[in-house]
Amino acid sequence: MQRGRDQADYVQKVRGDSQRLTENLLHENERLRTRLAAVDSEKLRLEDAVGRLRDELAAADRRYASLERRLEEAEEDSQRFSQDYLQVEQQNQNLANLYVASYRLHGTVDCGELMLALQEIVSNLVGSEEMGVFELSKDGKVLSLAASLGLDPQRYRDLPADRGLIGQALRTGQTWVADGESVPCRAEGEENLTACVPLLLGERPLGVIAIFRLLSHKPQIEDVDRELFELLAAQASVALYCTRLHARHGAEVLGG
Amino acid sequence: MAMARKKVLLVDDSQTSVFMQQMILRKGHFDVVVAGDGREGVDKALTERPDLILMDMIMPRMNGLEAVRELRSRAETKDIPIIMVTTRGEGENVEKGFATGVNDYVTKPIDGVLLLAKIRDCLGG
Repeated sequence: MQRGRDQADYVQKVRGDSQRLTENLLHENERLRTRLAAVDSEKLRLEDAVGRLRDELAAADRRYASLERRLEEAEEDSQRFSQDYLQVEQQNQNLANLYVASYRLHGTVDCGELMLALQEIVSNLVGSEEMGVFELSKDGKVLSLAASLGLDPQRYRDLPADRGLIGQALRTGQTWVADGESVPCRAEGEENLTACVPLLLGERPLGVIAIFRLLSHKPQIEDVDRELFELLAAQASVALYCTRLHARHGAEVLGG
Repeated sequence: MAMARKKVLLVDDSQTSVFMQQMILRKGHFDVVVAGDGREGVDKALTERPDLILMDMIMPRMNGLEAVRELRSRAETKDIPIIMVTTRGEGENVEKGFATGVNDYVTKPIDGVLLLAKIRDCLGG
């Protein structure tokens, strides 16, 4: 009898425990369901945020690519401007060289000063300390050294006007510039000749400026030098003619 | 406020070189004082107190190296930057210039852009 009651109590207890467990499970299930709903909601929110961030990132990537393109363009522009600036500066310097040379050539009617100016032009603007200015004799047969720098004056005092590269420049009226190739018609004494500039009064040759070795840090004749040679060919001869004219008739003209 | 223009003393006996350098310096907004040889260069450095000196090397009366030596020995001029202007760009000549006290050098024919860059460099930008 007692045993039967114990069994009934036990069953009752188990039933009560099971019911509490079930209630707990149901409660926990409800709690998890609520939590899941919250997580789902958070997930949606985060997915939405990730989507927005992805869009922003894509937009930032596009902006970055665009900025990179613009930077490249700006760098190219800057490089082009730098090159243009250097070219303009080079042209300025070339013009300044021509201006200075012209100013010096026509700044005197004294032959000695003119020769000094020619030496300075060749030394300071071309870059040679070996040069000679030759004047053609009246009979057109001899080129006489009128002024020189760094040359042995005895060796170059009188040159036949029909020989070598110096004679050729006089005859043809064309400036000759060494270009590194061997030249068959070099005369004795012209081994180191770099350039010959004929002095022409109109078409009439008055002489030649011969430029020998260039300074050690100047590798070759450049475009600016060629422009300077053209100016010398035309203007130095006029200046030379003026000094000769002044020497002969200056006193008469100026009333001195 | 506008910056005070710097004064450059140009020491050279060649009128062509002086004329050329004057054009470059004025384009660079420098005031220019000229001396025709080393002796006059030293005298003008003492009276004019330039910010920088451009010194040719081969000159009558007193050459460039002698002038640099004297300028470096005087308290009033020992700190003035000096740029040597030379037709001789070989190592030996340049070394001699630096040993005497020049700060830098340029070779003739003068490159205007390079000259202005070196002047600004010597003057601290």
